[in-house]
Amino acid sequence: MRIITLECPDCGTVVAANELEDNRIMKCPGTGCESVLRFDDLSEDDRSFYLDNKEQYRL
Amino acid sequence: MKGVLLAGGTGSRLRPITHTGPKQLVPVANKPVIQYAIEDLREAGITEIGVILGNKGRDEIQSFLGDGSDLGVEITYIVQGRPLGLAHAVGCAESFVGDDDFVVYLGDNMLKRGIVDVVESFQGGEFDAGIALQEVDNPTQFGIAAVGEAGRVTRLVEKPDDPPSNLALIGIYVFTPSIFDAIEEIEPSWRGELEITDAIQYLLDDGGAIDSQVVEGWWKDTGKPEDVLEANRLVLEDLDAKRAGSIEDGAKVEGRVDLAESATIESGSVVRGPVSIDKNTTIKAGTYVGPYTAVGVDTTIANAHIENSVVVGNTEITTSGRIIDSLIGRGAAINSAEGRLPEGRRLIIGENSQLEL
Repeated sequence: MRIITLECPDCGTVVAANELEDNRIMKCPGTGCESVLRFDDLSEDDRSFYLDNKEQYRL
Repeated sequence: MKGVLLAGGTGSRLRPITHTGPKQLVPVANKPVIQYAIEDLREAGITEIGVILGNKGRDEIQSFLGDGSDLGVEITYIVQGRPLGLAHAVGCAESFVGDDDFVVYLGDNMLKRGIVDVVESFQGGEFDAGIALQEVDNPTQFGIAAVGEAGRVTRLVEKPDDPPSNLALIGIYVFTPSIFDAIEEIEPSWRGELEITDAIQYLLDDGGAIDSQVVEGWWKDTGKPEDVLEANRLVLEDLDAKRAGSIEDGAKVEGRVDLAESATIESGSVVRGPVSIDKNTTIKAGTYVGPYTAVGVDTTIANAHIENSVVVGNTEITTSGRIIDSLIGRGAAINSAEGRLPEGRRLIIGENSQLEL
């Protein structure tokens, strides 16, 4: 199964696509990091793959 | 080599303790379980650690671990979100791991002798992965490995009806980045989770070499209250006790008793080790604290008899009753009903509490 994540460019915290998709826009969960992470920050390929296969990323 | 520490999960088997915090922060001998894992990784020379966070208890775990500097390590957080399986959690760590080999450690596991042997065994050959195993009496309840010559794993099977051995996977793995290719190839299991055993089996089927190391000494998964008590007993058994706190004249203190600097054992009380008593805690007159008890911070115990128990902290115990084999959550109060009418036990009990009266 393809696992899609986004790495915060400022602190290196990694966030899974399911978390990004749930929130769409979120403050980076890294300790003390003020960056904003978005589902749209994923590459177009990752986004479309995730959305086309959304069910497998839900328990 | 890097470390990936799993700190997700709901902790449902530890309710109600985990209603207010993650299971990885439940204390064993007055130290959160996850700290033992960090120390094991550090002892194996691993200081770059990715901590996988689920949906529950993130803030508490990040608040405790911070950037890792207080524990002598460097922590990167990896938010898995939904619990999609151990292989999914490992897969989320790919960008953190990069081209390094790495150890995966379940954050609610404890090992008496750490992971140095497992890491050294893996590094002693050309392996695609290494797994830690331990002999168990009930192999049908575990993931089991079939092992051939020189500890080479030949097959993995989950909860087998006909076990090929009694060697159970205990949740410590060493991987090369090739595991990420295996994870990409597998599909979720019948329970909807991406299973790490499937990924390792994929490596095996692909001709990969999987090392195994049978772990000596005890191993505990601290997922249930009885497991926490057992782990507490095992850790206290080897307690390096320092009596830094205050022991009043007239107090009777026997055996190995670890007493934090700001803790007090007052006159007229008896403490019989092995026992750990944390900061700002007072054992008052008339109290007996018996073997295998850990009393957390900011707690007062008066007149009670308590043994083989874990008191998480911020607790008041003034009952004259005997408390044994108990796990008492943060902020609990167990007071005396003596002299109150009508006679009886007065309980304010949260969801999922368990009492034997």
